[in-house]
This record gives sequence, C-alpha cells and structure tokens, in this order.
Amino acid sequence: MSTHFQEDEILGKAYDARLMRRLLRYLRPYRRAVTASIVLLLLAAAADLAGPYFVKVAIDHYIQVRDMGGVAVVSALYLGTVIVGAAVRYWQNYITQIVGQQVMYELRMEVFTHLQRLAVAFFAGNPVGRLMTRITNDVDTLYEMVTSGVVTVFGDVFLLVGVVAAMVWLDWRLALVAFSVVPALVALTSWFQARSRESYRAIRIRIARINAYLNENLMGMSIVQLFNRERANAARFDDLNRDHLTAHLEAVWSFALFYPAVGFLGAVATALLIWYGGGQVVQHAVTLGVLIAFIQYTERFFRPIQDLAEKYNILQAAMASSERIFRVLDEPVTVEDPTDPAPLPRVRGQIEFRNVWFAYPATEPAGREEAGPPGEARSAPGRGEPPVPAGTDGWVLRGVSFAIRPGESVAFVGHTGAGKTSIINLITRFYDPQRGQVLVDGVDIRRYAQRDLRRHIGLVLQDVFLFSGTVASNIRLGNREISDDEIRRAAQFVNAHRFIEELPDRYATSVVERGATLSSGQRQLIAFARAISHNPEILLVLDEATSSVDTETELLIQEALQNVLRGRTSIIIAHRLSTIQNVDRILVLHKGRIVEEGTHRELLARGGIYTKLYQLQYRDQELRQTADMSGDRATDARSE
Amino acid sequence: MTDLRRCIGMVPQDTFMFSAPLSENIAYGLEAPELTDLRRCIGIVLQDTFMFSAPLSENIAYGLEAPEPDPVRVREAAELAHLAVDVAGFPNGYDTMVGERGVTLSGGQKQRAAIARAIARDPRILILDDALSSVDTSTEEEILRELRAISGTRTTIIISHRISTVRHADQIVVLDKGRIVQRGTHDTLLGAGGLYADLYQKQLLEEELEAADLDAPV
Repeated sequence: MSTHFQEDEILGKAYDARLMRRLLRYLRPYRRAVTASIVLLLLAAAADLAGPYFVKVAIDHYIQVRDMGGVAVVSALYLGTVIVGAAVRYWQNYITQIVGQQVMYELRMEVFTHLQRLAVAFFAGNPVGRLMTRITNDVDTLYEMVTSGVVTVFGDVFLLVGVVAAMVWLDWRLALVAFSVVPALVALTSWFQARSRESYRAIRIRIARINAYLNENLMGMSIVQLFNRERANAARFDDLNRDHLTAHLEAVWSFALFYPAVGFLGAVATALLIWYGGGQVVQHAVTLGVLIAFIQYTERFFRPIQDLAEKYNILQAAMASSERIFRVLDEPVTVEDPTDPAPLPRVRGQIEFRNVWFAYPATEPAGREEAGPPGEARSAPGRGEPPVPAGTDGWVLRGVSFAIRPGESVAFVGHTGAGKTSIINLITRFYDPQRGQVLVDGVDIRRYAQRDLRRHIGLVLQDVFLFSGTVASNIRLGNREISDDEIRRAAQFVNAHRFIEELPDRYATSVVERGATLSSGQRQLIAFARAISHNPEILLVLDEATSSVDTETELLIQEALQNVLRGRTSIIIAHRLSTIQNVDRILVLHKGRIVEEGTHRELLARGGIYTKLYQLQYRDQELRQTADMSGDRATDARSE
Repeated sequence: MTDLRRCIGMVPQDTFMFSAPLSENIAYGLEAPELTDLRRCIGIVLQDTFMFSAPLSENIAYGLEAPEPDPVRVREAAELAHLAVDVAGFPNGYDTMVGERGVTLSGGQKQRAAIARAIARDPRILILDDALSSVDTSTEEEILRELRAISGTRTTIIISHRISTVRHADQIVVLDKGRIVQRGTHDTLLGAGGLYADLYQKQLLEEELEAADLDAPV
C-alpha cells in the first residue's frame, strides 16, 4: 500500500503530449461520434454567438425604426437559435458521455485482461488494493477528463475565439475597450491557476498522509494500545486532520476570491463599455444595438475563461491517472507463450525435470530503499517458500532432475523450504526456471501455449478457492462441456456426493464468500471433484492434512485422494502419511536438491533424511491414527 | 505437521495473572485508568512485529510517553536487543525511517527492534510472544542472556515453540489445546517424558536435518 500512497502524492504535468496521444488512440474507434460531438459543440457555440447579434439587429434595424413585424421576426429567430442551441447541447452532451463510458469500459477491460496475463510473480509484489484503484478510481478520473475535459475545452476555445472575432468585426475600437481588462484577467487567472494547483496538490498529499496514517495505525492497533499511545496518536491525527482542513480552507479561499474577482473585471469591462461606448452612441459613432451586443459578448467572453481555469485540475489529475494505468498496461508479460506453440491435443503424462535451477524473482517494488545489511532474510515472495535475497544464495531448486512415467504417482516430501511447492509452480508455468528444462511428453513446456498446457493439468491446492456461484458451478468452473451427470459422477468418485446431496439445494446450493458455509474438509472434496471432472492427464496435489477436519471427513479425503491418483500421472506434495504410503515412488527434497528416492519402505530402511522427516512429520500421524482407531472401536463397542 | 497448538511459557519470578476487573475495564477504552496503568507496566513483543513509518528512534521510544525520544534510552534498548550493530550499518543510524515507507528491515531486525521497543519502557513485566523466531539461534542465545542479566526483579513471560528459547526459564508451563498439561524446569520436564520431551526430541531431529546439508548426496 505504501507506494500507492506515495504515487498518489505525485501530480504530473497538466498536459503531456505522449500520454495525450496514447489516450486519443482510445477515441479512434469513435472517430465519427467524436467528430459529431465537436461539430455539435461548434454549432452550440455559434448559437451562443448569434444571440447578441440578433439583439443588435433587432435594436438597430427594427426597434429604432419602429418596425413591429421585423421585431417579431428577429425575436422568433432569437428564440429559434436558443432552442437549437439547447437541443444541440443536449445531443453533444449525450454523445460525449456515451463515448466516454465506452472508452472507460474498454480501458477497464484492457487492464483486467492484461492483469490476467501477468505472471504470478507480479501479484506477489503488487498489493490488490493498488491494482483495484487502477481499474476503478483512475479509470473514473480519466472519464471525467474525456467528458468534461478534452471535448469541452474545444468548445470553450472556439467560443472564446468566436466572441473575440465577433467583437472585432462589429467595432474594433469598442473591442479594444472591452479587452483593456484582459491583462488583469490573464494575471488573475494565472494566479488562480497556480494557487489552485498548489492547493489541489496540498489536498492530495494531505489526504494521502491521512490514509497512510490510518492504514498503519489500524493495522498496528494492538501495538498502539499495548504501548498506551492512544492520546499521543490522537494528537498526531489531529495535526494531520488539521493540515487537511487548512489545505481545503485555502483552496476555498482562492476559489471564493477568483469568481467574484472575475465578475468584478467583467463589471469593469461593462462599465468601460458604457462610459466609452455610451459616449460613442451619443455622438452617433456607434449604434445602440452594437453597444448592447458588446455588453452581452463581454459576458460570454468571461465564462469560457473561468471554465478553462477550472478544467486545469481535471486535466492534471487525469494525466497522473493515465500515467498509472499505462504503467500497469506496460507491465511486461514475463511468462509468455511461444509465437508458434507446439500442439498439445493429448497428453500421455510424462513429466521430466532436467537440471532445473530456480529462484523466485525479487519482488521489491521499485523506488524503495535497499534493505539493511545483507545476509538477513527478506520478506518472502512466494507462498510457503523461503525468502530469496538477490544473488547466488536465492536458489530454491538447485539442479533438480527427475522423470515421471505416464500414470505414475510420485510424492515429494521434504522439510519446510525444501522447494516442494516450487516444483508445482514450475510445472504449471506460474514461473519459469532460470536454468534447465521442464518437459511434458518430452517437449519443453515453454514451447506449449499456457492454455493448452494448463488444460491438461489438474491442480488441487491446500487452500481451496471457491468462487461465488453454486456447488456445481464451482466444480464445472466455466467449462460448459462438463454435463451435470459428469459433475455428479466426479463428486461420487471423490466422496463429495453424499454431503452435497445433504445441502439445502444440493448441487444448486449457492456458495457465498469463498465457501464460508462449507467446512474445510468439504471444500477440499469439492476441489477434488473440480480437478477430476476436468479429467486432467496430469494431477498436481498439495495435500495438507488439515487440522480442522474431523476424522470421518479425513478418511473420506484420504480415500478420494487414492481414487484420483489411480492410473493418472500425479505429483503430490505429501503431508499425509496415508498418501506417501500409497504412491508409486517418493522423492525426497532437501535444500533444493533431490537427495533420496524410493518407496516408503525402501526409504525407511535407508535411515537417511527420509527417516528423520518421517519421524518429524509423520510419526505423530501414525500414533494418532492408531489412537483414533482404538477410540473408534471403543465408540463402536458402546453403540452396539 | 501436527495439529496440536503448543506454547510453552516461562515465569521466572512470580506467576502473573490478569486480575478480574480487567475485562470490565476494556469497554471503557481511553477512560479506563487501570487499563493504561496495567499496560504501562507491561513490555510486550508480539509475533507480528509491527513497525510504524517513523524514524527507528521513535519506534524504539514508542512506549515512553515522552514527546521526543530519549537518545540514551533508545541506544541502551537497542544494545540489549542486539540491534545496535545493525543500526551502525544503516544510512542514517537511529534516524533511519522504518515501517512501510522506510527501509525494509529483515525479519530478525524487526524482531530485535520490537524487543528494543518493549524493553525501552523498562517494564515490570516483559512478555515475549514468539518473539525470537526469525532470529538465529546464537543471537537468540545472546539476547536471552542479556535479558536475564537485566531482568532483576522483572517478571518475564516467554511464549515459544522453540525449546532453546525457554530452556533456561525458572518455570516452564506446557499448554496443549488450551490446558496446562505439564509444568516444571527444563530438566524435570525432560525427565518426566510427555509432550515437552517429545517436542525436544523433534527439535533435535530438526537441527540434525538442518545440519544434514554437508553429508547429503547430490
């Protein structure tokens, strides 16, 4: 989150040609709508300009000569332009908003699809909150710019030019009088712009500080309370809050000053016009109609200037937002598909690692200070893997080679940090190894398309992620080819059918909040059903003996696991004793190397690392199993 | 992995119990003077060592209730927690910004900074809740020795899964599933067998595994 706050403090330029060009590219598909919108905008401005001119005509040509019919005609014309102007504005507004919404829809879509293509490593270094902000807030800021920014700026500029042209054309001397306030207006506007830029920046910085402070103190609340910091922190928050208030008050002050000051300049211009123009009218040098039209034009002259000064901030915020969005879009896809992927219609299920060396890429976000003295562990980047400092000592896998025959089930065992999970991360191509090759059916998996590869791999993770939907949709997972019948059979195969049938709506029972209403054992069974219904040739299982699972469900899971392994190439990161006893072969990982292999019995007989691991991780389970069994027998005896 | 939740506590001087009115006072928050007083005499290091975005000195002096950190006490606490050596290597020493927006401290450094923060208050009761898990065993040994030296009349409660952390305690309380299952000194507990002795055997094995690196075949 921290970098997120820092980023928000940075405000870019109000106009950046490179960013603008890139943004305009999104408008290209809507060229016609944008053109229409601009034409309508010009029409609206023209209608605005025509009004005072009709007034002039009415006064000079008809009122002065008491031509009632002419007055009626001009009045009708005047009304007509006002109506046309309103209609045109409605359409212009409508079209612009639609284009804006469409562009934002596409931009959100683009960010989302791009995020889906990024390697898992990217998400280890970028907190969810920051990415959410990109897709929602930043895109919204851009929308404001597209709708009230870019297009309207055209209109304002056109109106301004039109007003000036009309004034000069009507009477250049009066125009000069009206423009005599322009230097003061320019000075005032640039003062306001500088002030509002400053206060806008100050507000953003201070709100970011409040956010950071809140974030930190809510996260560290237990420390705050244990160290009796409530009063001190309330005082600190008061400071921050007051700063924020002050920044707002200053912004309010400059806004409050700017509008009346512009109004005052307008009044000065009008007064000058009445004084000088009035004299001219008396001397018959200028007609009354021209003078009145001038006074009306002067009003229209000040409005776009006010508008433009205001839009400056929107532009600025939008430029910063677009820069951040583009940075996400420019994030390179590190795990890429080959240009001409090898076809993979069917998989036999042979897996091979050839001298694989792997370290997790550093995930420190850019722009951070370097960590303290080297040699100490950094925060862990991956799930369940040891921290990886840069350099040679970060290897999680050090020259791992093994081959798994089609249909064989292999368990990996090893102490925490031995590199077990990394094996799975490499086969699924969440990461690519730095050295060596991972092969499926004799072909380097980097030569397959990721889609094709993953279609043949079923992955059962220890922490099952259930999406909101129904039980059935969680098993099917969007694959329409899987029929309801197949779902049922998959569930039966993994012992999930019975408990699903007992749910209120059976397979149609809705799953909420990641399956909060299901027990962890039930979630695991659903995960098995999910993997098996897709009938993958290769199955990867992170088999965690979950402590919260009751004995009965535990037995169901063990049985399910044995069922799914049968006749299928499987790699199991084994945590259950029952699992390692049932696989064809066990590979022992120790500090990134494969140090032993064989069956449970063979390995135990060797008395090496496996024996130690067994004593450490599995002997308890064995003891518990016997205890449970004798316990079960006791209950059985009682119930009989 | 075992599903047993175990922690072992050490109580050197006297057993400390939360008094009954505590739970009633919690509801009053800032208004409860007894709660503030109670917490004032406790220095605690939690499992999750949270540092605030502030200079290191302010983080260490976090519980001192003084407007400015006292440099002498900060330094003393850092020495005791074996953090001073690391600080010497920091770009700005004790003024180095830490926390989310400062330098990234390693797990061990964070834990030692949290220990410094707790002992800077010179608390009557020091609680270390799994506070040395990211510190290597030899540093842990040294920190514990220093803490024992200054403990004097201080009550220290150490919560840990590691036998090496608690073995020198005057009294070790073994908890299992929310119940006290054993209590005694390291030696008496080893002699008695049971959970503590099992855990000890396991950790010996773990150490062997760690050391197994050298003779492991490639």
